[in-house]
Amino acid sequence: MFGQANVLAQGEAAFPPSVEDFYLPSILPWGAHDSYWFTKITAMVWIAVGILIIFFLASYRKPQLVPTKKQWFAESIYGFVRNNIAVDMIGHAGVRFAPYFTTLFCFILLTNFFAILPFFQISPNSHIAFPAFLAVTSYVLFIYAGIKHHGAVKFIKNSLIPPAPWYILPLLIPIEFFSTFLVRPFSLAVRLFANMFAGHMLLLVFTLGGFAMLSSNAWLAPVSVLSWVMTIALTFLEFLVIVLQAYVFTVLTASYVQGAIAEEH
Amino acid sequence: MAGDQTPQPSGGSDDVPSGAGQGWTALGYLITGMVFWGFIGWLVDQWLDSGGIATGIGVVLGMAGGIILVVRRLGTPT
Amino acid sequence: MDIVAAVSGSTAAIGYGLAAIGPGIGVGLVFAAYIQSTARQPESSRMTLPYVWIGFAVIEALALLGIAFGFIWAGTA
Repeated sequence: MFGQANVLAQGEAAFPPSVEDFYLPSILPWGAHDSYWFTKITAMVWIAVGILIIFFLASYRKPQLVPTKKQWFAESIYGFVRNNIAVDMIGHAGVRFAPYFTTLFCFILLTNFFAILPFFQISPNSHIAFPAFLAVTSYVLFIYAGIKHHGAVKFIKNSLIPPAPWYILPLLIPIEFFSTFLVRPFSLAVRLFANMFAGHMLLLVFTLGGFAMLSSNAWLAPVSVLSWVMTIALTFLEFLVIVLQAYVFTVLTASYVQGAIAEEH
Repeated sequence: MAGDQTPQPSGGSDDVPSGAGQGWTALGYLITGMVFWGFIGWLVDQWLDSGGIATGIGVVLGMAGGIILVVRRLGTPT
Repeated sequence: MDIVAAVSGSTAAIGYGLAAIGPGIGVGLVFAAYIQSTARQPESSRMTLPYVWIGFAVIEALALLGIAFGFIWAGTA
């Protein structure tokens, strides 16, 4: 039972896990407290960016008519995002946005996947900063696309003034403004963040709960096995959430772009 | 069966927003309407000291607005 | 008569729990009907989807009103 001693000896990782567990110790300078400039999280984001760039460059280095395995994989990811998200949601105009959607999808999928990858074990997206910045990127993109397609005045008019009689417009315009320009980026960011945060928290609760029960008394000790079995089951659930959230983020971005460049209906 | 093609989703390209986006839009309209006008009602409450009545009215009005928006934006058969 | 059992905490939460039953069933029925009609006649999915959203909005409104009223009048009784 050295694992138990290991975990419980650290003190901070005692049973009820808290938000503190999301702030990993600093790497550079090594082990410094209250220094969050370069932690495991930062390292993971850089690793994710590096993996994506290298993978896509390498798989497209020598494109062949009969694709190699790597090229096939890269092409099927791109093809999936282009056909099943961009073209499905936006139509032919969506092909222009497919590269951004693919980048977004791959980046979110990979950084989310770090949550259940051994030795990484936490997703950068469980810190609000990363989902927030991704959401801001998508926000700027759909407003830019709308303004470029319609012109500023028509875009604002399209997205703020619903087809309704004039006397209920004062009731509706603030709602439209809020839901289009304030709630959208917020909900994009929070949905991804909350899912990854809750997922990591859930795994922590069941893993540490097992250790806590093991060390509490002889009667509860066997139950800890159940707790760890739950951890394994929840890891599979977590995998489902990871893929789903990456997909949902991309689909919603596509749907916002579609709404921005759609003709008035 | 050989001659039994699965029917293609008609059109397939230009004007189809997918279900997920529409669902979030609908829910977003309802919640935003409720929260925004509920907040206005709450401000009125603080001003007139009317014990939650104005907030209630604001929430109901905002919800009505949200429903109108969903009907107008999503509920018009194309 | 003595009090045998008492509830402490927010009774509004219990109220919202009760209020959520109806809309829960309602939203379930709406989407069940939509899925069934789409399975029987896939071409009709485009035609019925707007009505799904209207029904969904009206029903979901009840659940959201329930949660809002739970908060507004939580402390008054």
